[in-house]
Amino acid sequence: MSDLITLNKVNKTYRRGREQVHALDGVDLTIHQGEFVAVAGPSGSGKSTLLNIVGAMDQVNTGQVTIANQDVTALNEKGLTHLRADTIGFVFQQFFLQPTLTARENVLLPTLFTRQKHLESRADELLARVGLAERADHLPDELSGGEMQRVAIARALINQPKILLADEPTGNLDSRNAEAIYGLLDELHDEGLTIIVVTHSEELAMRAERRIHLLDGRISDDKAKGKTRVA
Amino acid sequence: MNLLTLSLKNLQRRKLRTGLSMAGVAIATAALFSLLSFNTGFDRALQEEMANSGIHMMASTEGCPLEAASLALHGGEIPKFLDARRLPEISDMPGIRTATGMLIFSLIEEEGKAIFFYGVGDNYRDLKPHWKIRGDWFNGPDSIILGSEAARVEKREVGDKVYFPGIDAEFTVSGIVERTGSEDDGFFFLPLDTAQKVFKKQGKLTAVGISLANVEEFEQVKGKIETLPDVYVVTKDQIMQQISSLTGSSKTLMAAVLVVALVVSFLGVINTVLMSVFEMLREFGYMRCIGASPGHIFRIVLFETLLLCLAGGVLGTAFGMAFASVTDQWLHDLLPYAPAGRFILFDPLIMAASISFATIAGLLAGIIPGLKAAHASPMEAVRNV
Repeated sequence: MSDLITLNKVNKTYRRGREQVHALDGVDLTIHQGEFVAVAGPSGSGKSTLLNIVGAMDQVNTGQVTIANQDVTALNEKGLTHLRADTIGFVFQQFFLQPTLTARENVLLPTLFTRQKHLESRADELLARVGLAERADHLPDELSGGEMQRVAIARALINQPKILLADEPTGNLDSRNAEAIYGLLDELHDEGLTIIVVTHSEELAMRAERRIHLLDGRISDDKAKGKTRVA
Repeated sequence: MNLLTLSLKNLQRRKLRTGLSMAGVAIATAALFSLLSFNTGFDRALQEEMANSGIHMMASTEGCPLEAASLALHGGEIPKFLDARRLPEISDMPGIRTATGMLIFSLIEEEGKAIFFYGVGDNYRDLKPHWKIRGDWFNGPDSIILGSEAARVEKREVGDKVYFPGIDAEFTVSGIVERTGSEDDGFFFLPLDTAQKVFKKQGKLTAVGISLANVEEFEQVKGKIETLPDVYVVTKDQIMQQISSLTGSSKTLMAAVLVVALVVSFLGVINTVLMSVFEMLREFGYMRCIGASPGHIFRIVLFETLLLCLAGGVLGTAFGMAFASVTDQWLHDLLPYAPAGRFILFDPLIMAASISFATIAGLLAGIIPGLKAAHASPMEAVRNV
């Protein structure tokens, strides 16, 4: 498996009042293409900062970050925008669906910014893929929480990203809907998508093939599950 | 779907707030439209009224000749009078087509409403060639000619008698001037001698209205008239200037109110959009994650304010036009001198200017919220609430 994301001696500090917080402290990490990685750890351990770094949302203080063969630390704002648009699909706890757009229009939203046209049929395919073919013309307030998150996943996939980055994707869902999302992530992983999930959910973390545990800005544990995936 | 439709749909998310802001813009635009229309409409109506008066200049006496002249045109009373002996002297001067004496008095009726009497000579008809009189010109010393509006209010027809208790005099309506659209419609015209007698101003005139045979001789004639004792001449242009200065303070006040309305509306739009930007900061952060550049976010917000102000501008202009007659009436009541006729007429240029102003204001109002939104970091999406 080729390396998709590498972090080399990454440090990230920020100020909180007078206090200097070492959010990431000399982190070395390599994530291979096709891996399903769960990042866990207590609050303040650096999970969110790691997510910001691997999502090209934030820059490091020192160290080097490479995503899909691009040195993120050398990219300007425009380069980072392109990297996020082309390489990474984002799924968040809050769904961020536009309430006045239908499910289909929400899925198509990223294409507004990448100027891709005529992707309606791909949006319908993705909605069918997440089990919402019949709900394409519904507005978000006509959907359940689980359905909204599935729309968000379909939206994250519209630009055919190499990485799906999910931050507490089941945090707002009941167990039945959470189970549906777990199943969907499993399927996407089985299809070869690289998935990185930041979660407090032990159940979700257990389903990942690799679990990284952070503590005080350092990787305290990094273990692969017995399960292996055919590349 | 494009950025514009996304902005439009964003506006629909907060219908009440959007509606209120749009109403604010609409009211400000309606005020702007009305003021612009008024400024051009007032001057146009004044020009028309002056043209209809048929008068090139007016001779009055020492004191406030300009005021006398403008009041003579519009109705009003002045304390100083011109010696009536000046009338034949002026009439006989070369270059004069018509010179007619006028004596103007007002009478306050029981309801507190002022009515204006115009004592005019027979040759006053020469200054009013456009008048259509139902009935006859004066046919005796006790005859009276009514303006169309005066006849309507008094409910009188040709041949009826009309009694004025304030002066204890009764007249017979010899004619009614058909609607002219000018101030003449509201006046009561008496023979000059009768007016002088009734108002006890024998040998006195308020002013002499003068029409020239050849307007190119304007300066020479004016100079000659001013050689007469106690006679001052005011020209049509001076009268118009005087009227403009009479209404100037009202115009300034209205402009000041308008500026306040525009500023309040402008700040209201900024506030509305800024509030929505703060509420959507995390969504903008998410959009940054999925490929939106700061420019995309800026445009989304800018389009929102643009649509808000454009819709408000169109609504406001339509509203201003729909209520033009009400505004016209209000302005006529408010102003110290308002020429007859409508100020606010359908004018595509003024409508376009009002809508353009609202649109440009929208673009400007969108800059601050747009910049704020454009600075949204992708990390806003993962920020803990």
